[in-house]
Amino acid sequence: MSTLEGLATALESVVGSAHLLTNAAVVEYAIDGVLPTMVVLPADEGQIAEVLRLASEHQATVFPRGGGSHACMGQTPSRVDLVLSMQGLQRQLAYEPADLTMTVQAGMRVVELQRMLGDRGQFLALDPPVTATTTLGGVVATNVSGPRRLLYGTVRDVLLGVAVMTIDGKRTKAGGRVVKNVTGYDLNKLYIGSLGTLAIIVELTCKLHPLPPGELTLSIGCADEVALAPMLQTLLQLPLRLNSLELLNAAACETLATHADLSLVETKYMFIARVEGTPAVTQSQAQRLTEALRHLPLTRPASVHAWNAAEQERLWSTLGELTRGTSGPDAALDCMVVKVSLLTSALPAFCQDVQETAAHFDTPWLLIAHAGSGIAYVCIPVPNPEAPDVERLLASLQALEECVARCQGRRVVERAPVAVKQECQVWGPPSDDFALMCAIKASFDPQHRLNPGRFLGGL
Amino acid sequence: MEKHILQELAAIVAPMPVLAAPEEMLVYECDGHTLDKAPPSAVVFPSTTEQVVAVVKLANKYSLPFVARGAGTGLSGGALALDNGIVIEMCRMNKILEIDYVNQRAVVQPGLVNLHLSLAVADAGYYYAPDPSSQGSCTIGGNVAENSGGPHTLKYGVTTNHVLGLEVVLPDGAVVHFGGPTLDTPGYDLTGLFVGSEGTFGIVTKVTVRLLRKPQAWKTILAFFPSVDAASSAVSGIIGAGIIPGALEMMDNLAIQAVEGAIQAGLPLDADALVLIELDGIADGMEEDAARIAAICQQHGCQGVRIAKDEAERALLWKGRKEAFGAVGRLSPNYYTHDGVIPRTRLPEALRRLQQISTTYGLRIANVFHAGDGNLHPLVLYDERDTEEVKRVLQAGEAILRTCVDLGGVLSGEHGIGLEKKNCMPWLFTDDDLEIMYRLRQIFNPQQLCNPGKVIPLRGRCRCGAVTAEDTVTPAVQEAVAAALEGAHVHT
Repeated sequence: MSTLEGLATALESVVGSAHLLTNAAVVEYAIDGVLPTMVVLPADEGQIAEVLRLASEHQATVFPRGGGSHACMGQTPSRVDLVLSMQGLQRQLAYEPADLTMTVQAGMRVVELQRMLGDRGQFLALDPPVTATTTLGGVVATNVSGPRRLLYGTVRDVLLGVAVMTIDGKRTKAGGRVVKNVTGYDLNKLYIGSLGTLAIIVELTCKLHPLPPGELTLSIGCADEVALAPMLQTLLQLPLRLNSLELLNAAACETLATHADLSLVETKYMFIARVEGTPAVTQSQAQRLTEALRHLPLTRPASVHAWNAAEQERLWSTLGELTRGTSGPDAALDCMVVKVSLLTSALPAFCQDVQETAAHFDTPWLLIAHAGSGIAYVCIPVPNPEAPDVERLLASLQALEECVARCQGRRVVERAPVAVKQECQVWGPPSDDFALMCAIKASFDPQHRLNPGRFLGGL
Repeated sequence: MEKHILQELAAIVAPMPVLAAPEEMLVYECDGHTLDKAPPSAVVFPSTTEQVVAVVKLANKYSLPFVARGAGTGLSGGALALDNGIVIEMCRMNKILEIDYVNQRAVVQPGLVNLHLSLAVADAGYYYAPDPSSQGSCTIGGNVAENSGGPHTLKYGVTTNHVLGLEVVLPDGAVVHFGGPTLDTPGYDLTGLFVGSEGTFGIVTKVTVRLLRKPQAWKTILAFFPSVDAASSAVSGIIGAGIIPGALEMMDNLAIQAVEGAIQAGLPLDADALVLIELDGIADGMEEDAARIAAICQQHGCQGVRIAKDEAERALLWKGRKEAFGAVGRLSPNYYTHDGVIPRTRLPEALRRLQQISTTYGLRIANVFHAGDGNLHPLVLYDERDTEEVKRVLQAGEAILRTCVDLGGVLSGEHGIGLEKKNCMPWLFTDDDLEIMYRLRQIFNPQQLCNPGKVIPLRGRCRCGAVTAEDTVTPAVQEAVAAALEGAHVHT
């Protein structure tokens, strides 16, 4: 501990006392309840480099942090010496609307960024569930995504360039500021989703998109499981400019209706589709979609409902909150969130399996899937988050894992009570490429001091 | 190559022969980048992953360099076998192993020709999006190595955006799998890192790709302009209006003349620039967008707009673009091309500077390029029999790349660095940036036998010297890596 005390003094001389927290204020930066010894909030890249060099000198572990909205991802750390907050680096560095590219510091808040781009009729085509403080660097490091990935892809499809600070305080970059680039190895891909285990992301260049002229959200009821596959295939194969296609089970619909204050019809499953274009174009797409569903040989016809602008907004933001595991006033709903990747064709069977499995447990499981991408979030409510019933949750998780295995999927526990995380591998088991990952980690961070122990297999 | 090694190679790939006669090596002494040449010592044609593994292990046993080769259409010398290495020619592994329309996936072998995949799934209403101009002959494996693009990447992205998983034979002969049929595989994105590694991280033996639904409708528009500046500002105007066409291509007057001479598409020979715009997607709203595009072109002073009336005319317009490189052959015996990228808004300035370079070096330059992405393709015309002219061509090429970097761009948008441009890497990257690339290559390819001498320059060198693999990792780098790996926390 004495060496860390020396670190605090040294850090203070770099960032100033106002930007170094060592007292009770660190509690806000706790990771899975583990209190950091100190929190540093550097103001620029130079300070970050200096902080990293000092941390190396003192052998301190370093936990990079954006807005903290996804800090629950990953295994619980055993010890947190230093949290490095990126909140001080929020500047826009370059924005050329006609090039549809933008360069910002990694601490730039996503909400602010989208507001600024929206003023110019553009947007960054990433829509993960965010809070007011979520940073772009955090989104890249966690590789979180949202419903629009169906049309626009994920971080790997929009990130053009990145600058990082390596553990020894050297600034290095990869990629560039142009939309097409094969100059050198594609390190962008390596940093995306690396959960801060390789280097500190300090600057990002992204490709932008024009805002669609309009959007229309439709909810489509589905009365039984047999109808899921034909409806899903029909929706995905129709000529539509479909940017999102979500699939919800009854429990998710009910929660969505309550938390978004929408009157959703009671149905076993519901698709929520969003098409884009001018009002005339979205209307004609809605008609085509309704028509195609009417021609399906279903025992009960699908009911299609279009939502108005205000309702759409509530609907999509609440859906995002649900996949992040908290929703409602004072986060009244707290869930263990398991993200499942599977083939789209396996989704109907998976839904049914989850329904049957959940019936053995006392709380209903919410299922929300990015149906066209084969990503399903299963949210298992944690009735008393302060004192969770760990055994019950572990039993639920094990039962869910069996569903995932039956559908040949993979799963990541994105959010769970600490006691549950300590009993499971949140990222699942590594594969035959793990030795390479370990070698990569070792070359970036040989002493294992960047976000140690939190990523896949302890990377 | 020693006889016993040839015999061992032959035993692995039997009944396929191993080529090793000097005259047979001529075919493999270069790829589409013809300014550098290096004959291999042998060429093998494996048919299975197991044979690739066996060849790679044999190469390791005798410390022989090796390089995988697809169709040899690469434009940066990436498939050259330096130091008399072995060429592992993948063209026999050209099967489509699996097509899954419901999940919009296909699993293919690397030697499959790009276009063959799109053709195989066309009747079902699907296609494979990356469409390099060489798509009729280039292979998916080569596309993975180079992260190839094509005219439609503006809207649909390049190879890396369409590859979901890989089976790879690592340079030591181990077989690993990256990514998979499902999305968001936990851990580092090694699929993304591998794509575009130019054959220096291993040999891909199986590729899982995304298939797209064919667009419901197309609209192909040709607009002619009195100046490159006017055409460039129309391009910016279209994008600025929030329209992202499927493709947005440009040709200058010299290229127009070459194409018109070759295929008689009725292009106006007096136009200084031609812009080919293709809208694709759903039919709803397409007429309106086409009308907006025509209006934007008019605003920027275009001389005329032609909209393809039918599929035949659309094919003709595209033929002009896709065969433009070949058509340029009518203007001179050889051409040298680069594919630097600049921010789209710098196009007018870039083309003015290219014109200056043309004057300075006394070389004609035709431009056929992906204007929507700012991806230039200046074709420097020359005659390879004139050795003095060849020198000027190389200097002009370097000046072109300098221009791209000066304007905030990069060295290559789709052709790769390979042998050709590795010594320009320090213009963009610092020693620290390159050090990370070195280290990554060292992790995958510690013996530096797999496609040595590519992508990363030797430190302190500025210009391509003799064609050798001497930039295998220096002792200093080896030491740094060993140090980095020491005490590493490796979980098994």
